[in-house]
Amino acid sequence: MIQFKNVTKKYGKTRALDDITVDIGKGKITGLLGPNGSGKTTMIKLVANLNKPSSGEVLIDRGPISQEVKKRIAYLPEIDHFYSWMKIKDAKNFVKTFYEDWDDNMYEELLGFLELDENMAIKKISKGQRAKSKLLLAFSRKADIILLDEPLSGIDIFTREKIIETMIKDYRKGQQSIVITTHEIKEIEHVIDDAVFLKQGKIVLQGQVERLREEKNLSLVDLMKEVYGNGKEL
Amino acid sequence: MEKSFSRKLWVMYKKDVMNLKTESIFMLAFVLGINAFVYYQVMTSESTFGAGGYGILSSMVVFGALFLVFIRSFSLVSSEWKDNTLHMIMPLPIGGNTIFFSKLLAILTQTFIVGGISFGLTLGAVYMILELEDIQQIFNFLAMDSGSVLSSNLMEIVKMAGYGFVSFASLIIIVFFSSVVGRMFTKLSGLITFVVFILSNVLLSQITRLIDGAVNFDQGSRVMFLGEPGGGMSGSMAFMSTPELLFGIVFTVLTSLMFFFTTTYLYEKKVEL
Repeated sequence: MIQFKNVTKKYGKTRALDDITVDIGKGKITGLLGPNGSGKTTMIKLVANLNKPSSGEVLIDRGPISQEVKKRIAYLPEIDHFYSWMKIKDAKNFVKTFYEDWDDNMYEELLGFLELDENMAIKKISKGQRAKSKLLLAFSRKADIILLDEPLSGIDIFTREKIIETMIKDYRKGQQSIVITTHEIKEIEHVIDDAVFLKQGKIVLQGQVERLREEKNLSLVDLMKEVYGNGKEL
Repeated sequence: MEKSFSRKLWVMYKKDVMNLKTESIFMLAFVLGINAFVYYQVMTSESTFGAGGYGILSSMVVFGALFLVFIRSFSLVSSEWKDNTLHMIMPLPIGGNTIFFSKLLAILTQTFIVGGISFGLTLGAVYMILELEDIQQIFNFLAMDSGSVLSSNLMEIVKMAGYGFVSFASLIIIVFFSSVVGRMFTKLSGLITFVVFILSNVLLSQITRLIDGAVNFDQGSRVMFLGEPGGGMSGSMAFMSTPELLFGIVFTVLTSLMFFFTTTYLYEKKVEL
Protein backbone atom coordinates (compact mmCIF):
# COMPACT_ATOMS: atom_id res chain seq x y z
CA MET A 1 0.00 0.00 0.00
CA ILE A 2 1.16 3.51 -0.82
CA GLN A 3 0.46 6.05 1.91
CA PHE A 4 0.68 9.81 1.81
CA LYS A 5 0.68 11.17 5.35
CA ASN A 6 0.15 14.93 5.61
CA VAL A 7 2.36 15.45 2.60
CA THR A 8 3.12 18.97 1.49
CA LYS A 9 5.39 19.64 -1.45
CA LYS A 10 6.53 23.16 -2.20
CA TYR A 11 8.44 24.42 -5.23
CA GLY A 12 9.64 27.81 -4.08
CA LYS A 13 6.50 29.58 -2.93
CA THR A 14 4.16 27.32 -4.87
CA ARG A 15 2.46 24.50 -3.01
CA ALA A 16 2.19 21.63 -5.48
CA LEU A 17 0.70 19.40 -2.77
CA ASP A 18 -0.98 20.81 0.30
CA ASP A 19 -1.16 18.55 3.35
CA ILE A 20 -2.38 15.48 1.51
CA THR A 21 -3.32 12.30 3.33
CA VAL A 22 -4.43 9.37 1.24
CA ASP A 23 -3.98 5.60 1.02
CA ILE A 24 -3.56 4.08 -2.42
CA GLY A 25 -4.82 0.54 -2.17
CA LYS A 26 -2.69 -2.52 -2.89
CA GLY A 27 -3.60 -4.60 -5.92
CA LYS A 28 -5.77 -1.97 -7.53
CA ILE A 29 -5.62 0.41 -10.45
CA THR A 30 -5.85 3.95 -9.10
CA GLY A 31 -6.37 7.03 -11.23
CA LEU A 32 -4.94 10.35 -10.08
CA LEU A 33 -7.18 12.80 -11.88
CA GLY A 34 -7.19 16.53 -12.25
CA PRO A 35 -6.28 19.45 -14.48
CA ASN A 36 -2.76 20.69 -15.14
CA GLY A 37 -1.01 21.88 -12.01
CA SER A 38 -3.29 19.98 -9.67
CA GLY A 39 -0.40 17.90 -8.25
CA LYS A 40 -0.84 14.55 -10.02
CA THR A 41 2.69 14.30 -11.39
CA THR A 42 4.15 15.51 -8.10
CA MET A 43 2.41 12.62 -6.32
CA ILE A 44 3.86 10.13 -8.82
CA LYS A 45 7.32 11.67 -8.52
CA LEU A 46 7.22 11.40 -4.75
CA VAL A 47 6.46 7.68 -4.99
CA ALA A 48 9.17 7.19 -7.63
CA ASN A 49 11.54 9.02 -5.27
CA LEU A 50 12.33 11.72 -7.82
CA ASN A 51 11.07 14.32 -5.36
CA LYS A 52 11.15 14.56 -1.60
CA PRO A 53 8.24 15.88 0.47
CA SER A 54 8.70 19.31 2.05
CA SER A 55 6.82 17.91 5.04
CA GLY A 56 4.95 14.72 5.85
CA GLU A 57 5.92 11.31 4.54
CA VAL A 58 5.32 8.92 1.70
CA LEU A 59 5.37 5.27 2.72
CA ILE A 60 5.17 2.03 0.81
CA ASP A 61 4.00 -0.95 2.86
CA ARG A 62 4.46 1.23 5.94
CA GLY A 63 8.15 1.85 5.27
CA PRO A 64 10.19 4.61 3.61
CA ILE A 65 11.14 4.39 -0.06
CA SER A 66 14.47 2.58 0.24
CA GLN A 67 16.63 1.00 -2.49
CA GLU A 68 14.88 -2.32 -1.74
CA VAL A 69 11.48 -0.72 -2.25
CA LYS A 70 12.64 0.93 -5.49
CA LYS A 71 13.33 -2.54 -6.90
CA ARG A 72 9.57 -3.16 -6.79
CA ILE A 73 8.57 0.02 -8.62
CA ALA A 74 8.26 0.54 -12.37
CA TYR A 75 8.00 4.16 -13.41
CA LEU A 76 6.86 5.53 -16.74
CA PRO A 77 7.44 9.31 -17.02
CA GLU A 78 5.45 11.60 -19.25
CA ILE A 79 8.53 13.00 -20.95
CA ASP A 80 10.95 11.10 -23.19
CA HIS A 81 13.74 9.93 -20.94
CA PHE A 82 15.81 7.70 -23.19
CA TYR A 83 19.42 8.41 -24.14
CA SER A 84 19.65 9.64 -27.72
CA TRP A 85 21.88 6.75 -28.84
CA MET A 86 19.56 4.08 -27.53
CA LYS A 87 17.71 1.54 -29.61
CA ILE A 88 14.82 -0.24 -27.93
CA LYS A 89 17.07 -3.22 -27.22
CA ASP A 90 19.70 -0.96 -25.62
CA ALA A 91 17.04 0.44 -23.29
CA LYS A 92 15.91 -3.11 -22.51
CA ASN A 93 19.47 -4.30 -21.74
CA PHE A 94 20.02 -1.25 -19.57
CA VAL A 95 16.81 -1.54 -17.54
CA LYS A 96 16.82 -5.33 -17.10
CA THR A 97 20.21 -5.20 -15.35
CA PHE A 98 18.72 -3.45 -12.36
CA TYR A 99 15.55 -5.41 -11.79
CA GLU A 100 15.16 -9.03 -10.76
CA ASP A 101 11.52 -9.01 -11.84
CA TRP A 102 12.37 -8.44 -15.52
CA ASP A 103 10.67 -11.04 -17.70
CA ASP A 104 12.20 -11.69 -21.14
CA ASN A 105 9.17 -13.70 -22.30
CA MET A 106 6.84 -10.87 -21.39
CA TYR A 107 9.14 -8.44 -23.20
CA GLU A 108 9.10 -10.52 -26.41
CA GLU A 109 5.34 -10.92 -26.22
CA LEU A 110 4.73 -7.21 -25.63
CA LEU A 111 7.17 -6.23 -28.35
CA GLY A 112 4.99 -8.07 -30.86
CA PHE A 113 1.75 -6.89 -29.31
CA LEU A 114 2.83 -3.25 -29.46
CA GLU A 115 4.16 -3.72 -33.00
CA LEU A 116 7.66 -2.55 -32.13
CA ASP A 117 11.01 -3.70 -33.44
CA GLU A 118 13.80 -3.75 -30.87
CA ASN A 119 16.29 -2.47 -33.44
CA MET A 120 14.37 0.80 -33.75
CA ALA A 121 16.45 3.85 -32.79
CA ILE A 122 14.30 5.58 -30.19
CA LYS A 123 15.11 9.12 -31.31
CA LYS A 124 13.90 8.33 -34.83
CA ILE A 125 10.54 6.78 -34.03
CA SER A 126 7.17 8.52 -33.71
CA LYS A 127 5.75 9.91 -30.48
CA GLY A 128 3.27 7.06 -30.30
CA GLN A 129 6.03 4.49 -30.73
CA ARG A 130 8.08 6.17 -28.04
CA ALA A 131 5.08 6.03 -25.72
CA LYS A 132 4.77 2.34 -26.52
CA SER A 133 8.49 1.83 -25.89
CA LYS A 134 8.15 3.34 -22.43
CA LEU A 135 5.18 1.11 -21.78
CA LEU A 136 7.11 -1.91 -23.03
CA LEU A 137 9.87 -1.32 -20.47
CA ALA A 138 7.44 -0.73 -17.62
CA PHE A 139 5.28 -3.77 -18.33
CA SER A 140 8.07 -6.23 -19.18
CA ARG A 141 8.62 -6.38 -15.45
CA LYS A 142 6.51 -8.10 -12.85
CA ALA A 143 6.73 -5.02 -10.66
CA ASP A 144 4.48 -4.76 -7.61
CA ILE A 145 3.89 -1.06 -8.24
CA ILE A 146 3.61 0.52 -11.66
CA LEU A 147 3.52 4.32 -11.88
CA LEU A 148 2.24 5.73 -15.16
CA ASP A 149 2.51 9.48 -15.59
CA GLU A 150 0.23 10.67 -18.41
CA PRO A 151 0.82 7.60 -20.61
CA LEU A 152 -1.96 8.70 -22.99
CA SER A 153 -0.92 12.33 -23.37
CA GLY A 154 -0.67 13.49 -26.99
CA ILE A 155 -1.22 9.99 -28.34
CA ASP A 156 -3.66 9.08 -31.13
CA ILE A 157 -6.78 7.09 -30.33
CA PHE A 158 -5.47 3.79 -31.74
CA THR A 159 -2.27 3.93 -29.73
CA ARG A 160 -4.22 4.96 -26.63
CA GLU A 161 -6.37 1.85 -26.96
CA LYS A 162 -3.27 -0.28 -27.39
CA ILE A 163 -1.73 1.27 -24.28
CA ILE A 164 -4.83 0.58 -22.20
CA GLU A 165 -5.00 -2.97 -23.52
CA THR A 166 -1.38 -3.45 -22.48
CA MET A 167 -2.16 -2.13 -19.01
CA ILE A 168 -4.88 -4.67 -18.37
CA LYS A 169 -3.43 -7.52 -20.43
CA ASP A 170 -1.24 -9.10 -17.77
CA TYR A 171 -2.45 -7.11 -14.80
CA ARG A 172 -2.35 -9.17 -11.61
CA LYS A 173 -5.34 -7.92 -9.69
CA GLY A 174 -4.86 -8.06 -5.95
CA GLN A 175 -1.08 -8.25 -6.24
CA GLN A 176 -0.05 -5.47 -8.55
CA SER A 177 -0.83 -1.80 -7.95
CA ILE A 178 -1.03 0.56 -10.90
CA VAL A 179 -1.17 4.31 -10.36
CA ILE A 180 -2.03 6.33 -13.43
CA THR A 181 -2.31 10.07 -13.96
CA THR A 182 -4.26 11.29 -16.94
CA HIS A 183 -6.59 13.84 -18.42
CA GLU A 184 -8.13 11.20 -20.66
CA ILE A 185 -10.66 10.05 -18.07
CA LYS A 186 -13.10 8.69 -20.62
CA GLU A 187 -10.57 6.17 -21.87
CA ILE A 188 -9.56 4.83 -18.48
CA GLU A 189 -12.91 5.07 -16.72
CA HIS A 190 -13.66 1.39 -17.30
CA VAL A 191 -10.21 0.32 -16.16
CA ILE A 192 -9.58 2.06 -12.84
CA ASP A 193 -10.80 0.76 -9.50
CA ASP A 194 -10.19 3.87 -7.41
CA ALA A 195 -10.04 7.56 -8.28
CA VAL A 196 -8.39 10.47 -6.53
CA PHE A 197 -9.44 13.90 -7.77
CA LEU A 198 -6.92 16.65 -7.16
CA LYS A 199 -7.31 20.38 -7.34
CA GLN A 200 -4.60 22.92 -6.61
CA GLY A 201 -2.64 20.43 -4.57
CA LYS A 202 -5.54 19.19 -2.48
CA ILE A 203 -7.70 16.09 -2.71
CA VAL A 204 -11.24 17.13 -3.46
CA LEU A 205 -12.77 13.72 -3.99
CA GLN A 206 -11.66 10.14 -3.67
CA GLY A 207 -13.06 6.66 -3.51
CA GLN A 208 -13.96 3.54 -5.41
CA VAL A 209 -15.04 4.46 -8.91
CA GLU A 210 -18.08 2.20 -8.79
CA ARG A 211 -19.27 3.73 -5.55
CA LEU A 212 -18.64 7.29 -6.71
CA ARG A 213 -20.67 6.66 -9.83
CA GLU A 214 -23.56 5.21 -7.82
CA GLU A 215 -23.51 7.89 -5.14
CA LYS A 216 -23.42 10.82 -7.54
CA ASN A 217 -25.22 9.06 -10.36
CA LEU A 218 -22.67 10.47 -12.76
CA SER A 219 -19.94 9.08 -14.97
CA LEU A 220 -16.35 9.93 -14.03
CA VAL A 221 -16.19 12.44 -16.87
CA ASP A 222 -19.31 14.20 -15.57
CA LEU A 223 -17.96 14.00 -12.06
CA MET A 224 -14.81 15.67 -13.22
CA LYS A 225 -16.83 18.40 -14.92
CA GLU A 226 -18.67 18.92 -11.67
CA VAL A 227 -15.48 19.16 -9.66
CA TYR A 228 -13.49 21.35 -11.98
CA GLY A 229 -15.90 22.86 -14.47
CA ASN A 230 -18.27 24.42 -11.97
CA GLY A 231 -15.60 25.10 -9.42
CA LYS A 232 -17.61 23.25 -6.80
CA GLU A 233 -16.03 20.79 -4.46
CA LEU A 234 -18.09 17.66 -3.97
CA MET B 1 18.56 -13.45 -10.02
CA GLU B 2 19.99 -10.17 -8.80
CA LYS B 3 22.86 -8.85 -10.87
CA SER B 4 26.16 -8.17 -9.12
CA PHE B 5 27.39 -4.69 -8.26
CA SER B 6 30.14 -5.00 -10.88
CA ARG B 7 27.58 -5.88 -13.56
CA LYS B 8 25.48 -2.84 -12.67
CA LEU B 9 28.57 -0.62 -12.61
CA TRP B 10 29.60 -1.98 -16.02
CA VAL B 11 26.19 -1.20 -17.53
CA MET B 12 26.25 2.33 -16.09
CA TYR B 13 29.81 2.78 -17.32
CA LYS B 14 28.93 1.62 -20.84
CA LYS B 15 26.03 4.06 -20.85
CA ASP B 16 28.31 6.96 -19.87
CA VAL B 17 30.95 5.95 -22.42
CA MET B 18 28.26 5.91 -25.10
CA ASN B 19 27.25 9.43 -24.04
CA LEU B 20 30.83 10.58 -24.61
CA LYS B 21 31.42 8.65 -27.81
CA THR B 22 30.49 11.31 -30.36
CA GLU B 23 32.53 14.07 -28.69
CA SER B 24 35.51 11.76 -28.35
CA ILE B 25 35.44 11.08 -32.09
CA PHE B 26 35.24 14.83 -32.82
CA MET B 27 38.12 15.54 -30.42
CA LEU B 28 40.28 12.89 -32.07
CA ALA B 29 39.44 14.19 -35.53
CA PHE B 30 40.42 17.68 -34.36
CA VAL B 31 43.72 16.47 -32.90
CA LEU B 32 44.51 14.42 -36.00
CA GLY B 33 43.66 17.35 -38.27
CA ILE B 34 45.90 19.81 -36.39
CA ASN B 35 48.80 17.34 -36.28
CA ALA B 36 48.47 16.51 -39.97
CA PHE B 37 48.33 20.20 -40.90
CA VAL B 38 51.37 21.21 -38.85
CA TYR B 39 53.36 18.15 -39.95
CA TYR B 40 52.60 19.02 -43.57
CA GLN B 41 53.72 22.62 -42.97
CA VAL B 42 56.96 21.55 -41.33
CA MET B 43 57.83 19.04 -44.05
CA THR B 44 56.91 21.15 -47.08
CA SER B 45 57.84 24.72 -46.23
CA GLU B 46 60.98 26.53 -45.44
CA SER B 47 59.37 28.01 -42.37
CA THR B 48 61.29 28.48 -39.16
CA PHE B 49 58.68 26.44 -37.41
CA GLY B 50 61.05 23.53 -36.85
CA ALA B 51 60.74 20.41 -34.78
CA GLY B 52 60.83 22.34 -31.49
CA GLY B 53 57.96 24.56 -32.53
CA TYR B 54 56.08 21.58 -33.78
CA GLY B 55 56.62 19.77 -30.49
CA ILE B 56 55.33 22.75 -28.50
CA LEU B 57 52.30 23.17 -30.73
CA SER B 58 51.40 19.49 -30.66
CA SER B 59 51.84 19.41 -26.89
CA MET B 60 49.40 22.28 -26.73
CA VAL B 61 47.00 20.21 -28.80
CA VAL B 62 47.35 17.34 -26.29
CA PHE B 63 46.58 19.70 -23.42
CA GLY B 64 43.78 21.24 -25.46
CA ALA B 65 42.23 17.80 -25.93
CA LEU B 66 42.49 17.12 -22.19
CA PHE B 67 40.94 20.52 -21.50
CA LEU B 68 38.01 19.62 -23.75
CA VAL B 69 37.60 16.36 -21.81
CA PHE B 70 37.58 18.37 -18.59
CA ILE B 71 34.96 20.80 -19.93
CA ARG B 72 32.84 17.89 -21.13
CA SER B 73 32.77 16.45 -17.62
CA PHE B 74 30.55 19.38 -16.55
CA SER B 75 27.95 18.54 -19.15
CA LEU B 76 28.11 14.80 -18.48
CA VAL B 77 26.27 15.60 -15.25
CA SER B 78 24.13 18.54 -16.36
CA SER B 79 22.95 16.81 -19.57
CA GLU B 80 21.15 14.23 -17.42
CA TRP B 81 18.83 17.08 -16.39
CA LYS B 82 18.73 18.80 -19.77
CA ASP B 83 17.91 15.61 -21.70
CA ASN B 84 15.51 14.32 -19.01
CA THR B 85 17.52 11.10 -18.75
CA LEU B 86 17.61 11.57 -14.99
CA HIS B 87 14.05 10.20 -15.09
CA MET B 88 15.66 6.94 -16.15
CA ILE B 89 18.50 7.04 -13.62
CA MET B 90 16.93 8.35 -10.43
CA PRO B 91 14.29 5.63 -10.01
CA LEU B 92 16.93 2.88 -10.38
CA PRO B 93 17.62 0.92 -7.20
CA ILE B 94 21.26 2.01 -7.07
CA GLY B 95 23.07 4.58 -5.00
CA GLY B 96 24.83 7.75 -6.05
CA ASN B 97 28.19 5.97 -5.61
CA THR B 98 27.55 3.74 -8.62
CA ILE B 99 26.20 6.60 -10.70
CA PHE B 100 29.12 8.96 -10.12
CA PHE B 101 31.82 6.31 -10.05
CA SER B 102 30.72 5.13 -13.50
CA LYS B 103 30.83 8.72 -14.75
CA LEU B 104 34.33 9.17 -13.34
CA LEU B 105 35.51 5.95 -15.00
CA ALA B 106 33.97 7.03 -18.31
CA ILE B 107 35.71 10.42 -18.19
CA LEU B 108 39.03 8.79 -17.29
CA THR B 109 38.58 6.35 -20.17
CA GLN B 110 37.99 9.27 -22.49
CA THR B 111 41.09 10.95 -21.05
CA PHE B 112 43.20 7.86 -21.72
CA ILE B 113 41.88 7.43 -25.24
CA VAL B 114 41.88 11.06 -26.37
CA GLY B 115 44.99 12.03 -24.39
CA GLY B 116 46.83 8.83 -25.29
CA ILE B 117 46.14 9.03 -29.01
CA SER B 118 46.96 12.77 -29.08
CA PHE B 119 50.22 12.11 -27.26
CA GLY B 120 51.03 9.16 -29.52
CA LEU B 121 50.42 11.23 -32.64
CA THR B 122 52.59 14.04 -31.31
CA LEU B 123 55.35 11.67 -30.31
CA GLY B 124 55.27 9.91 -33.65
CA ALA B 125 55.37 13.11 -35.66
CA VAL B 126 58.10 14.68 -33.51
CA TYR B 127 60.14 11.49 -33.92
CA MET B 128 59.81 11.73 -37.69
CA ILE B 129 60.74 15.41 -37.75
CA LEU B 130 63.60 15.43 -35.27
CA GLU B 131 67.19 14.97 -36.30
CA LEU B 132 68.95 11.84 -35.09
CA GLU B 133 71.19 13.77 -32.71
CA ASP B 134 68.17 15.41 -31.06
CA ILE B 135 66.67 12.00 -30.42
CA GLN B 136 69.97 10.83 -28.97
CA GLN B 137 69.97 13.81 -26.60
CA ILE B 138 66.52 12.86 -25.36
CA PHE B 139 67.57 9.28 -24.79
CA ASN B 140 70.70 10.47 -23.03
CA PHE B 141 68.56 12.56 -20.73
CA LEU B 142 66.24 9.67 -19.94
CA ALA B 143 69.15 7.27 -19.54
CA MET B 144 71.05 9.38 -16.99
CA ASP B 145 71.84 7.46 -13.86
CA SER B 146 72.34 4.48 -16.09
CA GLY B 147 73.06 2.10 -13.21
CA SER B 148 69.35 1.46 -12.55
CA VAL B 149 66.94 -0.55 -14.71
CA LEU B 150 64.71 2.49 -15.10
CA SER B 151 66.65 5.73 -15.02
CA SER B 152 65.82 8.08 -12.19
CA ASN B 153 64.78 10.83 -14.60
CA LEU B 154 62.29 8.56 -16.31
CA MET B 155 61.10 7.40 -12.89
CA GLU B 156 60.55 11.01 -11.84
CA ILE B 157 58.53 11.66 -14.98
CA VAL B 158 56.41 8.54 -14.34
CA LYS B 159 55.80 9.66 -10.74
CA MET B 160 54.83 13.15 -11.84
CA ALA B 161 52.51 11.68 -14.49
CA GLY B 162 50.89 9.53 -11.78
CA TYR B 163 50.39 12.57 -9.59
CA GLY B 164 49.00 14.46 -12.57
CA PHE B 165 46.53 11.66 -13.19
CA VAL B 166 45.34 11.62 -9.56
CA SER B 167 44.99 15.41 -9.67
CA PHE B 168 42.98 15.24 -12.90
CA ALA B 169 40.63 12.62 -11.40
CA SER B 170 40.26 14.85 -8.35
CA LEU B 171 39.39 17.83 -10.55
CA ILE B 172 36.68 15.77 -12.27
CA ILE B 173 35.20 14.80 -8.89
CA ILE B 174 35.09 18.49 -7.92
CA VAL B 175 33.31 19.14 -11.22
CA PHE B 176 30.69 16.53 -10.25
CA PHE B 177 30.36 18.07 -6.80
CA SER B 178 29.93 21.60 -8.21
CA SER B 179 27.42 20.41 -10.80
CA VAL B 180 25.28 18.64 -8.22
CA VAL B 181 25.37 21.67 -5.90
CA GLY B 182 24.44 23.87 -8.86
CA ARG B 183 21.54 21.59 -9.74
CA MET B 184 20.09 21.95 -6.26
CA PHE B 185 19.07 25.45 -7.31
CA THR B 186 16.45 26.04 -9.97
CA LYS B 187 17.81 29.46 -10.90
CA LEU B 188 21.37 30.35 -11.91
CA SER B 189 22.48 26.75 -11.54
CA GLY B 190 25.24 27.20 -14.15
CA LEU B 191 26.68 30.21 -12.35
CA ILE B 192 26.44 28.48 -8.97
CA THR B 193 28.24 25.44 -10.43
CA PHE B 194 31.05 27.68 -11.67
CA VAL B 195 31.37 29.59 -8.39
CA VAL B 196 31.35 26.39 -6.30
CA PHE B 197 34.01 24.87 -8.56
CA ILE B 198 36.29 27.91 -8.22
CA LEU B 199 35.75 28.20 -4.46
CA SER B 200 36.41 24.48 -3.91
CA ASN B 201 39.71 24.74 -5.75
CA VAL B 202 40.71 27.93 -3.94
CA LEU B 203 39.90 26.27 -0.61
CA LEU B 204 41.96 23.21 -1.47
CA SER B 205 44.96 25.26 -2.60
CA GLN B 206 44.80 27.33 0.59
CA ILE B 207 44.75 24.18 2.74
CA THR B 208 47.66 22.73 0.75
CA ARG B 209 49.64 25.96 1.20
CA LEU B 210 48.96 25.97 4.94
CA ILE B 211 50.11 22.37 5.32
CA ASP B 212 53.11 23.03 3.09
CA GLY B 213 54.09 25.94 5.33
CA ALA B 214 53.57 23.94 8.53
CA VAL B 215 55.38 20.79 7.45
CA ASN B 216 58.17 22.54 5.56
CA PHE B 217 58.88 19.82 3.03
CA ASP B 218 62.39 19.01 1.98
CA GLN B 219 63.11 21.26 -0.97
CA GLY B 220 64.59 18.42 -2.96
CA SER B 221 63.17 19.54 -6.26
CA ARG B 222 65.69 19.14 -9.01
CA VAL B 223 66.10 21.09 -12.19
CA MET B 224 67.37 19.00 -15.09
CA PHE B 225 68.82 20.39 -18.28
CA LEU B 226 68.29 18.80 -21.62
CA GLY B 227 71.23 18.99 -23.94
CA GLU B 228 74.18 21.31 -23.73
CA PRO B 229 73.81 24.90 -22.53
CA GLY B 230 73.21 27.02 -25.58
CA GLY B 231 72.34 23.93 -27.63
CA GLY B 232 69.25 23.54 -29.74
CA MET B 233 67.39 21.26 -27.31
CA SER B 234 68.00 22.81 -23.93
CA GLY B 235 65.24 22.91 -21.40
CA SER B 236 64.45 22.31 -17.76
CA MET B 237 62.20 20.24 -15.57
CA ALA B 238 61.47 20.67 -11.90
CA PHE B 239 60.65 17.58 -9.88
CA MET B 240 58.95 17.40 -6.50
CA SER B 241 60.76 15.73 -3.64
CA THR B 242 59.42 12.28 -2.71
CA PRO B 243 57.81 13.33 0.63
CA GLU B 244 56.15 16.28 -1.05
CA LEU B 245 54.89 14.07 -3.86
CA LEU B 246 53.58 11.47 -1.41
CA PHE B 247 51.86 14.15 0.61
CA GLY B 248 50.35 15.57 -2.56
CA ILE B 249 48.96 12.20 -3.63
CA VAL B 250 47.57 11.29 -0.18
CA PHE B 251 46.03 14.74 0.28
CA THR B 252 44.47 14.67 -3.19
CA VAL B 253 43.05 11.16 -2.70
CA LEU B 254 41.57 12.04 0.72
CA THR B 255 39.99 15.30 -0.42
CA SER B 256 38.68 13.55 -3.56
CA LEU B 257 37.00 10.91 -1.43
CA MET B 258 35.46 13.62 0.72
CA PHE B 259 34.12 15.48 -2.32
CA PHE B 260 32.94 12.23 -3.92
CA PHE B 261 30.92 11.05 -0.93
CA THR B 262 29.50 14.53 -0.35
CA THR B 263 28.40 14.54 -3.99
CA THR B 264 26.66 11.16 -3.70
CA TYR B 265 25.02 12.22 -0.42
CA LEU B 266 23.66 15.41 -1.98
CA TYR B 267 22.47 13.48 -5.03
CA GLU B 268 20.60 10.94 -2.91
CA LYS B 269 19.16 13.30 -0.32
CA LYS B 270 18.79 16.70 -1.91
CA VAL B 271 18.55 16.43 -5.68
CA GLU B 272 15.05 16.57 -7.14
CA LEU B 273 13.44 16.67 -10.53
